[in-house]
Amino acid sequence: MADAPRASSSRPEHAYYVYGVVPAGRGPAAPEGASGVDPCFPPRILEHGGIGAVVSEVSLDEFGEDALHDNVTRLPWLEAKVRAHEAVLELLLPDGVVPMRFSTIYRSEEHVTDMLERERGVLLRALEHVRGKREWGVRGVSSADALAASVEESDEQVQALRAEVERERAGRAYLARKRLEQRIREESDRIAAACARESHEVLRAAAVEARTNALPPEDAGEQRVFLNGVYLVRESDEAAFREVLAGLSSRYGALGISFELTGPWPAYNFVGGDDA
Amino acid sequence: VTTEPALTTEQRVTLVELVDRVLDKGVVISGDVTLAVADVDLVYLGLRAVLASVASAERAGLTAPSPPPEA
Repeated sequence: MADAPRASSSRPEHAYYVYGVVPAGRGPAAPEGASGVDPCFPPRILEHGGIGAVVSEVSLDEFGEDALHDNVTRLPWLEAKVRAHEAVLELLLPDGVVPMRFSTIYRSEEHVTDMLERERGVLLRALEHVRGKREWGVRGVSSADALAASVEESDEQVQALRAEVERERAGRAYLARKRLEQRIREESDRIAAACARESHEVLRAAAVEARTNALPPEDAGEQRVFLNGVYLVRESDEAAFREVLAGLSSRYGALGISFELTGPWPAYNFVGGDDA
Repeated sequence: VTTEPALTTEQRVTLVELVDRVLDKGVVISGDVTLAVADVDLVYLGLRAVLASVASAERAGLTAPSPPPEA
């Protein structure tokens, strides 16, 4: 309820926040340029058994169990921490970083190295999997108006219904208009679905691994996301991947469909193992 | 080297994209300080709904609404 992040006035205690892991051998210093989720403590690398954990200390006043539980419900706090988490990992992208989920926290350095020991097999496999690759996100976005306009131009059934709307009087015209709208909607959905399938297939072919994630909740907006794809791409194949995307953009542009590319990202979507 | 694709926009990193990854993806290993998975899921799902509507408003050229009320 309070505006400020919850803090207790008792003695400060620290814990260790783990952002992800990198192959060992780069030394204890993390690249400079990101301040960490607790700006008081710069990130560094803690190596054990061939794996380097990217860690920084955090205050338990902010990241202790109770405080954390409250703090995550505050959007400004969460946004700052999520951005800090990402900023640290992005600097380690060239090393082939395996990202961990937000708020993986240990009480001591020893517990961090215990974890590296315990999870060694999983982490080494993940490091090997992402080596030399980066994640890219592609959103396919359609404009409902532009798509409807192209359906009007190309679909005979729509044209027939349009003529009927103009020819008929009140009651019949109303029904015809309903059918016209429904036909346009169905055709638009069909085109977007076909485009999503085809786009994902050709992008997947240019990637090592690919997934589609949930679409944003539907709203009444004019612009709709119909593809939310993520792709693990070899760095040496990135130019080709972009060319495939440019090809899709020019092919579907006339239908009011565009593609938004984000990345490169640490391979968040390709290290989970749960439903991957 | 590719020519700059005319119709592909490399968008600045939106909070939606970030939250989708940092809160919902990545290696899951249990730590000492636990935020129950259910808590994270709840926060994530609520946040995603808020952010998605902000993002589509931005895409439509509207200004972002003021921050959502606290959960």
